[in-house]
Amino acid sequence: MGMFSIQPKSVIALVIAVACAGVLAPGARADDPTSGVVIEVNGAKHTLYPIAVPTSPDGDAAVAKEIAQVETFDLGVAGVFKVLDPQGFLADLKAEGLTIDPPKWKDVGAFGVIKYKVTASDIELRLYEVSKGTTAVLTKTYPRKGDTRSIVHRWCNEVVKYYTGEAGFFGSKIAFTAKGKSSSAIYAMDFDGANAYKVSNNTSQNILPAWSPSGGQIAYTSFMRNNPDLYVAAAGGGRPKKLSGQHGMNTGAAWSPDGSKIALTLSKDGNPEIYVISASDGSILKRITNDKAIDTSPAWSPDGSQLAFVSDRNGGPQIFVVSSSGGGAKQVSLNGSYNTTPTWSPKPGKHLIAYTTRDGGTYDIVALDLDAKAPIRITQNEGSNEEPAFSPGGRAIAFARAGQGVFIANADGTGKAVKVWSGSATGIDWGPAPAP
Amino acid sequence: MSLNNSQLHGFAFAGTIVLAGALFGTTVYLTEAEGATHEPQLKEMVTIEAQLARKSEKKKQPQKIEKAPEPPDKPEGVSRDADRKPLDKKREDKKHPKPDDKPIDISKFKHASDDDPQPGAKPTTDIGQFDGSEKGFAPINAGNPYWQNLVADFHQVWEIPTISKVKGAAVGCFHIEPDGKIAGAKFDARSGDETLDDSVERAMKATQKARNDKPQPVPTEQLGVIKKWVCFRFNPNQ
Repeated sequence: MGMFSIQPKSVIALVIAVACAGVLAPGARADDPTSGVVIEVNGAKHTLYPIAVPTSPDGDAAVAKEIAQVETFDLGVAGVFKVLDPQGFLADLKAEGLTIDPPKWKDVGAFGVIKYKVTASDIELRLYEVSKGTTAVLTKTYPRKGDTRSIVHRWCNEVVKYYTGEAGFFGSKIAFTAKGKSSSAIYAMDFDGANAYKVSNNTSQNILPAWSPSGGQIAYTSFMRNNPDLYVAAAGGGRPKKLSGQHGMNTGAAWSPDGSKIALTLSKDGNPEIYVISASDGSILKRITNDKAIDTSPAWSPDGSQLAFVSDRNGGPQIFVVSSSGGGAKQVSLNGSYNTTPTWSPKPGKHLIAYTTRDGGTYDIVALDLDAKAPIRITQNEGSNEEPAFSPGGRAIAFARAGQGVFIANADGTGKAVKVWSGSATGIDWGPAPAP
Repeated sequence: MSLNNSQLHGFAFAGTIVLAGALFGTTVYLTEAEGATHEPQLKEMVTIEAQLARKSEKKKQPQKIEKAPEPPDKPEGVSRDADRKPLDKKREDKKHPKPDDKPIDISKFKHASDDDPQPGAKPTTDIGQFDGSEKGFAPINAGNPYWQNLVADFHQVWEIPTISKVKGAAVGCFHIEPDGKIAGAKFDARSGDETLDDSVERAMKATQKARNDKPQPVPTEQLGVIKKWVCFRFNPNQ
């Protein structure tokens, strides 16, 4: 045995020591008390719904392009969507066909994707929610009868209803007065400016159109017999029927929600006052105001129980509300010294009136919540804007911008107004919702 | 020299202790080094609530005001140039108010929230919340700025469309490297709401990319935290 001869017992002791070291070492990390933190992240940023509307690469290219264009416009003005720029799309549209590859759409920020396929007989449209994978959440097939735009408007109404539970206003129509050099004519068009046509058929002054609740008729004031009388014509145009030919003004017609009555301004006794007449024969049913001031521009509340109108009884023109059965009127406009052309929001449960207000040297559109008494700016620093009209459902407002044309904007004051018709226009009225 | 049996045992025992100690130390060292680079297991995570809010103000010790020594008076008019004329003393512009000048009412420039008591005001007894949260000393303000910045990054990118009515909360976790890069991201608990989970996944992905493009090294005192997954509870409705 040499100097450092090792005994078997020593080897056993070393093995035990090594084993102990191996067991103890990992324990030093496992017991770290600072690991495993959970940090709270409260409150997400609320945004418009990012939706992708790619043009279908299959079928008739012109029709496919038109579908994508109409979808993009409709969803863009709906007030709840942000339509994504197709330049950034990563998906192979040809390979995808009518389905989607969710990661590809997630990567471009899309929450929703619309796909469609055009055949000779019909158009199939599908809505996908990227988070829900490759199964479409909404599918519709429309026979190719009528024009493609109408089909796409109906589809977009379905998409809006899927997300919001509310009917869309796509496919509805807007009437307005187009001003010429020596005359003015009543026009109607699709809400997006397409298919504009002339309703009045004379060369005189024709102003202040008003849609009937059914959308089948338009009432307007015409000077064709020199006196400003009230006429009613079919919404598609044609020969009008004189409904009210009282001496003096027969202006500012507004149909009651049930379509049986029309409120308007008559000055048969000298001073302009608000009256309600029969929509069928023009007979006077009720005189609503009786004041030495000028009372004009009546507008029905959605339930028909109240009328808003303009009066200068307290000085400058202001918005007043009165019961549709008459009685005392109450001023509701709170801002400025000049407020005109009121219109009620048809949104259920909302007591909202939009009107024109003078702001410095120009005019702007304001929406006033009568309950909260909180005005919302619809336009500001964008020219002179007048004569608002709510869309069916109350999600959007159309108005005239002096010298530029007809615009539509979100009724909650968000987003940017979009021009739908170019020219000199006044007297905007938005027709009822289209049939589903 | 020959050793007897008991001496040999003594040497063997001492050697064992020394060797075991060396092995133990080496193992611990290697484990620590490995722990910082290897992906930890999510199941090992121990959840500790850490509410982060606004950054607390750094407390400053009272400082002694030191007055700078007055510069020595220099005789004016003395120059090496014998021909140079002494400088004229600037006349003090003693503009007296004209008799018709009205005194300025400074009260109109005073902000309503100024601390100074208004003349005639009752003495205030409002000293803020007893827990000190208004003064920035409460535990709610104890979050480390590193994590506060990461939460702020989430707030930049975490978006949910207004029309999507989401409910619940999701917990997503990051595996963060000491250099600040995010090596891994995964869900610890999904909310069950597809839109919410999707929004959280997008936010985590965007934050991971941003942090990997511009890493922010983890502060030394927080290195212990990142040995395990750092998790975030995304609650959209709070």
